[in-house]
Amino acid sequence: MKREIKFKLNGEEVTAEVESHWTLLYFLREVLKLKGTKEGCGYGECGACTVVIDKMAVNSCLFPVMEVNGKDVLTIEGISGPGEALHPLQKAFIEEGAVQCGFCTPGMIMSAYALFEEKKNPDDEDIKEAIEGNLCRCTGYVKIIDAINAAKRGK
Amino acid sequence: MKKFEYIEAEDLEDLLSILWDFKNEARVIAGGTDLLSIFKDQYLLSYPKLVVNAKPVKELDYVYIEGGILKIGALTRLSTLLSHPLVIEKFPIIKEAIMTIATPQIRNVGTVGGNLCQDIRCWYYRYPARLGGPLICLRKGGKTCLAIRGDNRYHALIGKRCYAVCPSDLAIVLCCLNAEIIVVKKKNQRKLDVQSLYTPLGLSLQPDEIVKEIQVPCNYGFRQRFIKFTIRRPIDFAVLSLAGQLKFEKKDLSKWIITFGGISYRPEVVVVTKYFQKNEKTVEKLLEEIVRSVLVKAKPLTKNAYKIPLLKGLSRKLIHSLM
Repeated sequence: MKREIKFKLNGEEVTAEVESHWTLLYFLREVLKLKGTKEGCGYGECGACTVVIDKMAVNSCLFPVMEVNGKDVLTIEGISGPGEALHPLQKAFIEEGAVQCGFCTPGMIMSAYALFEEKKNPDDEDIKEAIEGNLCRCTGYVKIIDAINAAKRGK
Repeated sequence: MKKFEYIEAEDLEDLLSILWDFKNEARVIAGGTDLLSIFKDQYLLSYPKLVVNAKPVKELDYVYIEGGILKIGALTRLSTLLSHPLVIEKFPIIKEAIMTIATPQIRNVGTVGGNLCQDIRCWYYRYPARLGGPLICLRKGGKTCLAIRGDNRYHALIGKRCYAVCPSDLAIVLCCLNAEIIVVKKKNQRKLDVQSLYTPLGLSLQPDEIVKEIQVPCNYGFRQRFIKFTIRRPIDFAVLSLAGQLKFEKKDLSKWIITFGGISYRPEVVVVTKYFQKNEKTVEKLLEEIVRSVLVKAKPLTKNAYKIPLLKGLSRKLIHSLM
């Protein structure tokens, strides 16, 4: 049975009909065709599906779509400001060489985005803790931490 | 993903009424990080039709101290507890444990009640439908625990027919702090100690019962410490975990309360009282007594005997860090 939900997605009000058992990730990728958010493991272990809900990083693969009703959801497609092609975090990831295969990148950036929502001036330990739930098999994390630091300085 | 219908409970009364009416046909979802993977993997033999979201029940989201007892609402998120001033100031061991639980993303949605009530991690029990599951193990009405003859490297040392271990790190710590759990259902409420929440074949909750509150007495010890051994540092369940408190009864009479996770279906507790002297001889005596008491019923399986020297080593580390 389809149910109606209303929520804010990347700053815009969305009304949609969904199945109760869908995850937010399924809805984003397969219905809205927002393919920036990735599915890695599907069990909250890799963080590739990270989105920001009410300013907190969350695994969209383990989040029931019904529960976003009334909430504010932000995905990688929605973080750049008006008239801005890329968010400072995205620019920093490119400039610091923090992207290799790129599969973890949207999730990493969303986790870093949530960190900046919580702390304006995070140190290296804060950064490491914030991306603890995001696996990267290419970079070895050093460039990613550099990029988040660079974005912090640029803010 | 197994299909389900979804409703939101308006308040606690509504939640308990729904569970009373539906019994086994309904399951509570709080953070949902475990429940959704249960629905994804379809490893159970039967599934409830209805999922009731308890998150809107705001009256179960609180942390405060009253009458010398820290009271934690079951729907308090792990991330809230992690940064709560009362936890940071009085119960650093709870913070220490939560830091090791899953990931920031999961802690942002996962709740205290959900962490205590999560399903076990045994790979035979959780064998997913997409790979040919479910497997009919003892927990699902089968004749035997499949881990006994299988790959049991992460299973229990103290088994009661089923060899799955308690997956909750918070349970190990709360048990060490002598916490009590308030369980409610429609028109009824009861109090359990942490160990009694777990039975060899599952939780001791009825289908219409939920964990409402955790009560932690504030007579905590002189020092408290949590140690978790995992294969991978973040995002992993414990191979072994230990929570310890050192209290002083009289001047030099020390009381060591140590709980162990990863060795049985519930937290296992050892309490040792000793005259305190800070030297290696005391450490060795204490260690011998603690390890002997906890392992008295241990019968290692084919692949998990390594947990015994590991437990000894971690116990020594714990004693030193509490001294």
